[in-house]
Amino acid sequence: MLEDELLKWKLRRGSRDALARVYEKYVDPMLTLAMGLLNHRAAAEDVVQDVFLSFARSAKGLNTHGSLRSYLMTGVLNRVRDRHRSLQRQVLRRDAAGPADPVSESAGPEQAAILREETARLNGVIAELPEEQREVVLLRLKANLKFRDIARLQQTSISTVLGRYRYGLDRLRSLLNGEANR
Amino acid sequence: MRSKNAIEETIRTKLNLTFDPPLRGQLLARALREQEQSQETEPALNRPAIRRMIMKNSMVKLGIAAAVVAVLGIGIMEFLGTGGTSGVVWAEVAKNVEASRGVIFRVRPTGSRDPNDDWPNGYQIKWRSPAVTRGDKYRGGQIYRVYYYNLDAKTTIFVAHDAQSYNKEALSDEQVQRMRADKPWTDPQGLLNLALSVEHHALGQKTINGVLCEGIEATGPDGSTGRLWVGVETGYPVLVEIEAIDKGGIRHTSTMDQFRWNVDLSAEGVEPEIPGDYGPL
Repeated sequence: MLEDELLKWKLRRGSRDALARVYEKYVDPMLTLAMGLLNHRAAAEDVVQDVFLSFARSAKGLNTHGSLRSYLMTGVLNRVRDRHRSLQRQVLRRDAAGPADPVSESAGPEQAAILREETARLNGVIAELPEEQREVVLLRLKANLKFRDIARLQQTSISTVLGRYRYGLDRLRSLLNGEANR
Repeated sequence: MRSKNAIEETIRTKLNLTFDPPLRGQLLARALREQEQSQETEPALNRPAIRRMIMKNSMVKLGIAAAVVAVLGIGIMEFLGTGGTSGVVWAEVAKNVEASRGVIFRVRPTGSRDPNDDWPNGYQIKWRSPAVTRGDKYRGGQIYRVYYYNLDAKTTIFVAHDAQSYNKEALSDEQVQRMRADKPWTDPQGLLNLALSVEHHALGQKTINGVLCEGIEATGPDGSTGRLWVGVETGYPVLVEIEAIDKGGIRHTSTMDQFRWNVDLSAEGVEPEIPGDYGPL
């Protein structure tokens, strides 16, 4: 947290070293979150690229009182949501028999080969969760956000978020234990 | 059978991705280029949109900018002969603000998406002059961080009281030049451009902390608002309130009060002291 404060302070003065350090520290967690939300490697990389480049452009006027991790992770979530909305609009314009939504496709074999086996398997399981549960689980476990902050992002109550988290974990447990029993 | 705790632990520790090295390097190089280019662009405050100011600049800058924008805007109207006959001569307020050697005030922002937003217990005391910027951050009534820039001395200091550590560095000429150019309230022309693009109306008079004030409200095209209250007797701003709703529907506010205007910051001992037992960061 203290390192983040110093990094923010340096970023406002245009420090290149600070930007490089933020990149080194957070770019992989951002990718992990984006991949968890999208289950599509190329799309996840695009999202992280968009968010980080935007961050680099606006770092001089950075206005956040908390951790950079939360700031960047929230950026990833918002960009993923924008992407979902954009794709939903495209899908609406297509015939029902049109090509599949690329974001909701499961990872293809070539991607699975790139991902480590465990990560690919976990992403596959998480992709089976409803979107709102998936968001809560990943924001809690991978972005370390508090439930009250997730509630704010989802514009709902904390009890609803806690319910989504509980149902999400139950579903994951069922899916992973099901795999283990096969 | 895996327990819930085991599932949580699995996701925390085993769900990790990394960028492939070539892409990793390319993205960082591009980010550094974007950062460099952004330093060369015009100050955001020269662009006429309150909303954009709220989202891309600090609330403090915004508050000061909005206050002066509103003041200058009204002042221009007075010069043009469209003003009212109230107790505040807004053109004089504009002159006062512009001529002020330095100002000290309190800022309380809230509504950000930031999980560590510490409203209502946190606030900052800001010290601003053309050469000096200092911010003292308070939480639970205790100061825990201080940052300081002195463009004349070309130094910057950061003190983390909560970690008993500090950082002190020299500012390069380029950084000084950039920071001087980025001080919106010392750029009347930019503020004038803004004022002409923002609608405003009078709020009448009210007493704030025993001081008779007169207010105006400026509204941006997206509905974001800034309210400025000025002391009738002193002709200086007393209270600034900013409100905006961002794309996610979250309401952002910033309140600035406890103003001390026309303070000579060079005589105030503004540079923060670093206790002898603090270590470098």
